[in-house]
Amino acid sequence: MSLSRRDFLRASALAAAATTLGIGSVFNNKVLAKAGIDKEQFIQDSRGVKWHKSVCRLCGVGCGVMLGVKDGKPFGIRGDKENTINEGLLCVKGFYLNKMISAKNRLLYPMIRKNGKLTRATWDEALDLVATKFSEIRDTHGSDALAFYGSGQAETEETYVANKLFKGHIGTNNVEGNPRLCMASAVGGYISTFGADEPVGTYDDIEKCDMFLLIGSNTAEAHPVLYDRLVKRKKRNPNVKVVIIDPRKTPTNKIADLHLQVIPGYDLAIVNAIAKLLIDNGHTDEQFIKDSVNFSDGKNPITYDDYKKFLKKYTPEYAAEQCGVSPEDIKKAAKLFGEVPRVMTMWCMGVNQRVAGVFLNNLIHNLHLLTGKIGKDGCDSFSLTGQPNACGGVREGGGLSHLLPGHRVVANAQHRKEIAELWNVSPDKIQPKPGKHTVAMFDALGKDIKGMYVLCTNPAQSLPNLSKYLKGMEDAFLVVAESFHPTETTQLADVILPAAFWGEKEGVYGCTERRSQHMAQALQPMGEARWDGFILADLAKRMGYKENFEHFTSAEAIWSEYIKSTKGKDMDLTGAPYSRLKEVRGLRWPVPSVDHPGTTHRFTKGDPYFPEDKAAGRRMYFYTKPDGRAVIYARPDKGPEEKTSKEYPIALTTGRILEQWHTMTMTGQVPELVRAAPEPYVEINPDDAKDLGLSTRDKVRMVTKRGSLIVEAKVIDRPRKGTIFVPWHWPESLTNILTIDAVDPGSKEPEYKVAACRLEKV
Amino acid sequence: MIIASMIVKTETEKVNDIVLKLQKLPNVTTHGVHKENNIIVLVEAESDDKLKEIGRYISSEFEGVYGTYPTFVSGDEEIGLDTAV
Repeated sequence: MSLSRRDFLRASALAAAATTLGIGSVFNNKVLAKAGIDKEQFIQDSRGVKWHKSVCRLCGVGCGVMLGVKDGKPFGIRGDKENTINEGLLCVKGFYLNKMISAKNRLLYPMIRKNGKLTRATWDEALDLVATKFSEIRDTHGSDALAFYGSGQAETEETYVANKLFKGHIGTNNVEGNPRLCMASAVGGYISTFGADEPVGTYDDIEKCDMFLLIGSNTAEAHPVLYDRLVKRKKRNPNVKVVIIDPRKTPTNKIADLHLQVIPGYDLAIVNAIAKLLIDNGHTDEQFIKDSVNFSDGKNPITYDDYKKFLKKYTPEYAAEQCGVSPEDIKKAAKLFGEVPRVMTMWCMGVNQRVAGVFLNNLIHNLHLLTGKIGKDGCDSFSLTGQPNACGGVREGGGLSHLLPGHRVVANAQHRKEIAELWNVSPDKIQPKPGKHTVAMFDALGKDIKGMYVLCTNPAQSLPNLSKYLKGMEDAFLVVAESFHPTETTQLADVILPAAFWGEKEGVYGCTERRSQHMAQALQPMGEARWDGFILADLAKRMGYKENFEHFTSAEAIWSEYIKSTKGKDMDLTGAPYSRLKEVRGLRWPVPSVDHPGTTHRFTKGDPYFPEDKAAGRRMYFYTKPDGRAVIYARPDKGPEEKTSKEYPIALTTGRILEQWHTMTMTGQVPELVRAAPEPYVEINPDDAKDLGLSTRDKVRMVTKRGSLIVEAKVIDRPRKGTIFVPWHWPESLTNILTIDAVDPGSKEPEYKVAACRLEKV
Repeated sequence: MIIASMIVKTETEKVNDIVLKLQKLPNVTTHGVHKENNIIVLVEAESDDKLKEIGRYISSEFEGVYGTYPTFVSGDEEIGLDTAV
């Protein structure tokens, strides 16, 4: 007799936990029996559940997830034990993925705005309208009057189709994606220092590392499964050290040996001071520097001695004064970095979302190049990614205004020629000049840009200095392809197109460690929803580009075309066709042939493109640089754009919390997650609260030059005195009306992390 | 019926205290300590409401917990859509 549904679920849950811990067989026998569950019957009943291999839809860690389907319905979610990234563990957000699929606000049919109101339409009506309006705009105002705004959550195939349509056929480089708002500075840092985007190492380095330097990253809450790997490493090796540089105490501090709690926006001085101390203390790898490093002031080459002169100013005392920390702590951090054999630095938005984001990325890389702690086990300068496919789809797929697929740029004639050939268009069709970056694009919306297609993102909540950009979205012809409605952006749209959600579509995600992973389709899309790749290909046909899109009849067809663009490139994925990706838990590029295992460390032995002849005995050869040498940059300690003042004496910094993700479009559909932190709040240091007479749950008004917002106070010893922390998730309380839209001059990424504000008790 | 499992990871010396605390929570059963500091926890609830914020509560309120990591959560019976491929 079959088990009851309850017993079957209990057994499934216990078996998943036991399997994750690697105690499956023993545990199942003992505990299932104790729970009164017949193990043999459980095994038999389990045959009715089909498990589909996938990847978590949320952050950039790339956790393997199995989506179970039984009797035609989602049965459950479990971590994928066979995936070496998470080995079966998930975090709270991944826990509720299946609830997001069935959320009550799933968009089930197309809608068109008529007389100011969104009304139900057929697919033909909606897509014909979009094709007609876009064609009119293109013909009347030129191709640059159109724009595409995509997402680091879109699959690579989806971004590829959009890129091909807009850059290769409509003929505009106004193609951007929300990774501009989170990862662009990391891209700028990698490219300027190493000549190519994305990390040298992989997650494998974590298990061999002796010191983790975490800068601007609350790993425990933003990347919990990765944090668990750090915890495990430290637990097994008590000598492993964790040093944190961050303006805020976070749950990550549970494993910290040293925390430099800096004033927001001033940490460049600390990193330069650490570099100086590494040299002064004799902790550099002089042979590595001689073999594999150049020096630059950002404009011209300089010598090692010039660099040392540049660093003279950055004494621990100077840096300590700039950053509000103790000089002794800076010395301790530098000593640890220099003395331990293997170091990984990890960082996230606290570094990237800054007007000096690229500089700070360069300075972090400097530490690893000075000490040679890169390109070998346990060492890396490793940027953490916020979205599941920011790396795979947008950075690798070329979904930004200056990029083309396969780490190419529009400004390079040869690159345009290669991609035009792949797309079967004239090279002239692809413009040589980069399109507008995200902030400039939304600034032009409703003016020079008349029509925009938004895919899988919510800019009406996520843009900085938000109030400035809402009118443009209202005025332009705005098309939004989304799985959920309403969002802040769908409410402004002229046309909304229902998109298939995770689990309802097939595709590839590329995560932080250069790993591309295939996701199976387990379910049919809800309602009339369609896959974004097909929607875009359909639009292309309706705009007259049928010939180059009609062969896109499956996700595999698109992927197969895309990976041709990577052949021979530093990010070669030609050894990762669907037939292989379906069988493995991802492959880390470069993977140039189907019998290649993928690459753990780039630019050194084991990298298929490492040129032994040119390297001539050198351990690392950065073949993406003309002479094979990475660059150490002398970058000044540029502070924040908006400094605190008498009128605005508090530094406001924004961020995220464990249970929510981005604009809550997905996680806001899960009551459990919403209840964990139901009200918008601001964290205030107890000393600041005392000065203002504030207690927890008091209402407080935050005022910046751009706007004000009233939320609940949470008095807590997390932010340093003079700093407040505001999560940005809640749509009813748009934190980004307070933030500034100044951007890093290189990466064009906005400075979400620092704004000057004042607090008023309400 | 919502049923979920998770692994609670703790400081080794505090694991037994945390097991005792977990056993006092409604809708929660523990299923042994494994590999020094991993507690298997099963959460059973008649509705979503009772499953609420357990992960966060354990992480934030129990001293010595590094984190809570779900390993399985059952589907929602109310979905009612035959959507399998």
